[in-house]
Amino acid sequence: MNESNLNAPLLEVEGLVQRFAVASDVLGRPSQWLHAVEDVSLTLYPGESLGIVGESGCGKSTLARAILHLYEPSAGRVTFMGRDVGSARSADLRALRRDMQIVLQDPFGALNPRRIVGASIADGLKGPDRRKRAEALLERVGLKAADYSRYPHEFSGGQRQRICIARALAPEPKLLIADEAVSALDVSVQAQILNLLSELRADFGLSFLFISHNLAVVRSFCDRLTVMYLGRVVETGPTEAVFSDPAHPYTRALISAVPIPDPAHPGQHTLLEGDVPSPLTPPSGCAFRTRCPHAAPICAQSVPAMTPAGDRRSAACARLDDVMRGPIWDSAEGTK
Amino acid sequence: MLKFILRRLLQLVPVLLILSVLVFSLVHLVPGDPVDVLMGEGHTDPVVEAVLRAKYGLDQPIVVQYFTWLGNILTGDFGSSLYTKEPILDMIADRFPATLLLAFASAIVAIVISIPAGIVAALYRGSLLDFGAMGIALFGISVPNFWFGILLILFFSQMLGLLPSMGYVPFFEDPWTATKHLIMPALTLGTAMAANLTRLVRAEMIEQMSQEYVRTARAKGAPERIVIGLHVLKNAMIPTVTIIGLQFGGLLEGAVLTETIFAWPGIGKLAVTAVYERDYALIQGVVLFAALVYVAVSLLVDISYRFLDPRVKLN
Amino acid sequence: MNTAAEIELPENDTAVLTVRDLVVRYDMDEASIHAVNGVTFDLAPRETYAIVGESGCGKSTVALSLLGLTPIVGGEIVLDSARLTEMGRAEMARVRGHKIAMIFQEPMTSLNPVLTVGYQLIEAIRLHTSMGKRAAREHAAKMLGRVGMSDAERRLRQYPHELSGGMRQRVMIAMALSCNPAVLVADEPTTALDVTVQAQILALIDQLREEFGTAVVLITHDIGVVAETANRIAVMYAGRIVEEAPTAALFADPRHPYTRGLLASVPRVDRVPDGQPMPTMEGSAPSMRQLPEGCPFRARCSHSTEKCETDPPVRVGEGRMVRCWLYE
Repeated sequence: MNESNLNAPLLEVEGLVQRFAVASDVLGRPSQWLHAVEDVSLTLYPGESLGIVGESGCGKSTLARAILHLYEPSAGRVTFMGRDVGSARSADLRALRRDMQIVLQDPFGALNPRRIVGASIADGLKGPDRRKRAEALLERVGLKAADYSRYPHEFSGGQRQRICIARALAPEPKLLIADEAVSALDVSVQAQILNLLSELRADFGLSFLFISHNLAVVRSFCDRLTVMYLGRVVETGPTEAVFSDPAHPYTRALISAVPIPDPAHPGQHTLLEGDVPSPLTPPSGCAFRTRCPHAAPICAQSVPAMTPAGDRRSAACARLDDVMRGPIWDSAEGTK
Repeated sequence: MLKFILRRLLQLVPVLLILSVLVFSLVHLVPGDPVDVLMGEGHTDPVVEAVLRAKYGLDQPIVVQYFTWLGNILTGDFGSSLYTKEPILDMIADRFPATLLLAFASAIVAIVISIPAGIVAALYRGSLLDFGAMGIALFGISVPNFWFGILLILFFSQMLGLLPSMGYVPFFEDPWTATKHLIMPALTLGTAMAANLTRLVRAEMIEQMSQEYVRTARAKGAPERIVIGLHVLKNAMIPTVTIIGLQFGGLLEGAVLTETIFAWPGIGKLAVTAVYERDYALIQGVVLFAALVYVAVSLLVDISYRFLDPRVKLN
Repeated sequence: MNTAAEIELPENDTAVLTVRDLVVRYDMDEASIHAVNGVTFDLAPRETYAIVGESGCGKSTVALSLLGLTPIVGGEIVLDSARLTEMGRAEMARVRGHKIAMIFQEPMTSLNPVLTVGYQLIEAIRLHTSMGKRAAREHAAKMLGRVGMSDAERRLRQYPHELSGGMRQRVMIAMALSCNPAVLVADEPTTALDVTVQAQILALIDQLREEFGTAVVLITHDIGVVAETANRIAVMYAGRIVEEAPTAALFADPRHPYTRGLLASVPRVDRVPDGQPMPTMEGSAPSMRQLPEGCPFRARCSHSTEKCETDPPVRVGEGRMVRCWLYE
């Protein structure tokens, strides 16, 4: 998708900060903050699929909601199709939101159990023949037109996720935010849904913000990748470049921790110590330094800035030059 | 901890102010004039009336009356009864031990009935035992408790002559007689409270029994009596104790009907007397006292939460 | 982590745990759920035996059945020559946590929130030993050390919510191994954990399996996890084991069509995507309320023939088993 980079960005996030007050003092003033998203910037070009990966508490889901302007950001700006989402008035915001739809992890909770699924889909449509078009959408996502008047509980988890996708497609969005959209599904169903998303992406020219903790899925679906840790971006770059030669120590540890479903080519795991720190009390300086095998005194002093780490790549690490680079897997790489 | 209590106390200030306005204005909006009561029936001497009004400040604008009253209360002066001239605080202090005794006894009755009944109903969910316990509980909730009190009097006093039908004896003067007087009012109030509590205990037990830590307890080989009696019960008791505390706070305000039926000289009875006599000052004093007691009890319940549930941090 | 080669496949007489024709049914108001429909396997001492399958295939029910926590309606479970399926409630409680222990998927909710870590550990120890409170506390602290938790004394006084997910799972493991059981049943032990923590916990389980000489039954849906930790793998579908083989053999030569489909649909993090659509199996598993006659996979199977309408035969050989008409 390199050629699309020549176009204007579809989505631009600049210096986004999202904090939530979690405790207050005697007079009810906030005294403790949860640092969900700290100074995150990213750009998504039309037709592109950008993966956001990271572990729990890294802020990836908060980021999605902040982009949809479901929260008032503590700082920073979100620009979508050239419009500042934060300053859009409610009518404009509704229009902007038609152009960016979200598909969530839980296909059970996302649908109203008392409405037929067709009605949920038709809600997003405008103009005449809404029923016909909703039925067409159902068929497009691999269901039957007759499923229009059935209720959510009559479907399996994978089918419900198809319904959620049809509903998201109804307003003809430019951007689909998939927040762990295939994480709750069994692998065989997960593969079906991923294939469906790939087809839709090609057919509708959709752009994707694909949020997932599953690195294998991200590698197969995304053009570019942004790795987050404790609310901050630690590395970003083209997917294949990052997977074949991760720059940031966290990215290296994260990728190498994934078990490989192939006993003939077992993974080489770099075992990290401890757990992800609490976003209530993030470590000073680089948030990863408490678990980083390369940590040095300098890492505690200031938050490292994103610095170039190869072609269209950057990473936030003070010791980038000292980190051993190279592929994580050798023998299995590139063979299939 | 201290910070939490401070903040809670700070939050109470506006609550109590609004409450005082409500208490004050309600009493004054109700038809009926205390001066009429003071002067006695048939007396209409306008001079006496004016003197009485001036004496009790009833000739002042209502706003002035309110602030005078509030100022006195803040200095600990609840005023005097319009009728008996006794200081209201003394009257309340006189009646409060009776109410406190009844509240304790009723709470014990309620706990002794509801916790075992709720546990059994939860353990044998859907069985006859469960239906029986829930049926009785529903009956207990729907039947007014004064009716149950009257039934008790009919049975134990009139028919069997076992228990005195009315009156109160301070517990430490004569524990045996005091207990005999206490049994029926405590049963009346306690069973009413037990009806609600049984349903709560049952629901909490069922909720907790489906939690995953219960499976862990079984998987490590804990016998069922430990799984239920310790693991489940300890969790189910957290909300239960909260409700018991709040209901106990309610009992401390005085049980108007029950105290009246059994001629129990508690706060509830005092309130009833005050209303009959249109004793504005006393009504205000009693209602405000009851509200203060309830607010204090709910604060204590909140603090006790800290000790019951380790997940709750008060800050 | 790949120790498959070092372990001999079990002979019947050396197995620490044998399961024969296990049938479990949950009776609901209207229908019965046929969760497990005849599961048979042997567990060798010190091996990791994985049961994989997708949600609803009955793998977790098998796990709970091994501890007698399900309504077993048929079959036999023998642990160290003791017939668990014939034991009464009290007798079974003495085996649980003692000879066979279990850890669960959700470390967040699997510990009692209002009891300290120490209380819960000490309880597990004292239920099955004659240790006094003091000795049990010392043993509990030692167990925390062995699962890699420093500052054990402080940990014992903490409540579960004061620990991270990974730490809670370590506590669960310490609790499960505190009485040195012959068998540890691990039901999706890392599914709720972050991937970097998952790697720690899997390594820990494997290390302790060696140290304690415990055999592990690992229940998981994660094909990557089984590839790296299991000696042998059973693939479950619709309440039955459809294929069983040593790990390397299963991945090199999957025989049952379901196993093949399952392995093919797993995305690979270590491979450059080829840009082709991922291989998929159409449809989904049948309802466990009403299982079809014959092979339950036949509606989704590209090899299905008329034969598949009757129960497929079991073929055993070369240390592996497959239940399919293709290998008649």
